[in-house]
Amino acid sequence: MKKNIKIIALTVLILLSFTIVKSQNRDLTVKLTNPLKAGKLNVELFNGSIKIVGYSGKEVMISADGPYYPGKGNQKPVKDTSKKVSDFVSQENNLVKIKVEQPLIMNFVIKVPRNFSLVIKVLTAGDVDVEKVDGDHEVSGISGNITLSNISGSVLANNVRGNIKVDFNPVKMDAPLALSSVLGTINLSLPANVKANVKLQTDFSEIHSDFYIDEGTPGQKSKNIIRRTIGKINGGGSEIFIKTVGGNIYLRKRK
Amino acid sequence: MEDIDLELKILDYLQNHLLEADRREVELLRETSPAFAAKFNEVKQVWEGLDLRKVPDTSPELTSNFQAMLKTFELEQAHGKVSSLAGVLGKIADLFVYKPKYNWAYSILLISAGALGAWLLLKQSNTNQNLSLVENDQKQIRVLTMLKDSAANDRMKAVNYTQQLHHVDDKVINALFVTLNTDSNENVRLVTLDALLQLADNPKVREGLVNSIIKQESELMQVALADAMIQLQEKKSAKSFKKLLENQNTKSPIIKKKLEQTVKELETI
Repeated sequence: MKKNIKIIALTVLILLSFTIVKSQNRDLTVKLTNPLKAGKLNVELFNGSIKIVGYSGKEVMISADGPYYPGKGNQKPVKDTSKKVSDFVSQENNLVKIKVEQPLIMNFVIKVPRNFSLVIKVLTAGDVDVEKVDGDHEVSGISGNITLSNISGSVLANNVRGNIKVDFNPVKMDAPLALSSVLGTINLSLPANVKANVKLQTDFSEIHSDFYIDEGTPGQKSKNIIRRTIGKINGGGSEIFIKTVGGNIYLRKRK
Repeated sequence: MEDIDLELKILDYLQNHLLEADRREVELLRETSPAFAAKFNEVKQVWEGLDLRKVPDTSPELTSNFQAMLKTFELEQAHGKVSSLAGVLGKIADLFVYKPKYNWAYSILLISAGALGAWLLLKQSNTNQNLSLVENDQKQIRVLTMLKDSAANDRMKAVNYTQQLHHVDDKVINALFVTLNTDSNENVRLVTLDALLQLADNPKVREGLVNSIIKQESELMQVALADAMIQLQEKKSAKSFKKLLENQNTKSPIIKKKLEQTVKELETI
């Protein structure tokens, strides 16, 4: 009986150590060349989701799942164990680059210093989720959803079939904000006291807002452009541009 | 004949004032009567001793002038007496009488004041204009450099910036078209289209926009250009959209619908 317990304990230990080694293999901490300066993260994924969270540290902590080769037909994707995270990551002059090429699938969870700029491109499917990062962000997706919450700075996000949801706090003056999607819904929350010039347009859906948008004198209207709102919020300020063809637009006051 | 009469007659004789008959009588008496001759000599002596200065006769002009003066003076006197009250009233009334010369003076004063003001204003706005032209040029240079920036948000700022310029020259327009057709960020291209649409009075810009249609692979840009062409009523752009519809089979149904709608609307213009 005692022997059995010892064997079980040993196997558990071995298994644990194995997972630790494995997880070490999947995690990577990237030191910046100049930790006092704001950095930039550039991610290009062929296929996969990515979650980025801002934290108070000075390093970029990357943990990844994959890479996988897509399964043939209806089969599950096959993991490629020969590759390490570091194979996909590089850093130079505070610019951290992650690139995963066709046909690999790879998912990431990344911690970055709160003051960081992001350029994220997902070329096929996969969600992008960003939280608490202040900087100039460019995000583009195809069929996944793009969600940016509790962020500040400038955002240029575009999508094709996925939705875009952005929750800003606060809005930097003079920082442009442009969101566009062909089919997805666009949802933007801004502080109630935001000063902005807005251009909102959807071709086949609706625009909803609880902000008072001063449209001044209405311009020329075409029967083809069925929903268009151009105006100022709180007297005007930052440029906000939202366009979708088939999705709804929601412009909300942040609560 | 009394002495006085006699003396007067002699005096008249001496002054040649007598008629021919009286003259002869005086001469006859002088020759015949010694008393009369003595009297005559006496009077003659006195007369000559008087040394009378001859007073010149008044000329007829002077007389008539004097008469005229007298007449007007009399007339004035007569009038003045009748209307001394009316004269005061008349003077008061004079104040209210329309006097074109005052009007003219006032108008000239106003016109010259206006001209001076306008000149000062123009001078000022000219210097302002010169200043803002320089400023505009500096802004344009800034836009041109920012459009080449690697960060998409800076390029976006540059495009937004062009909408604040009073005047956009060909360099900036060309740079905007490069951005419209080749920028890697879709949002930057979308906002650039909006910026160019505001310059669509320029025929070059219209032409550039029509030419851009077939260069756009992104569906969102194709749709945005479709809206733009309808706004500009560019009938000839229908061809380009037809080409887009023929070329790509992978288009989502909603984009197809939108482009077909656009072609239809453009062809009915």
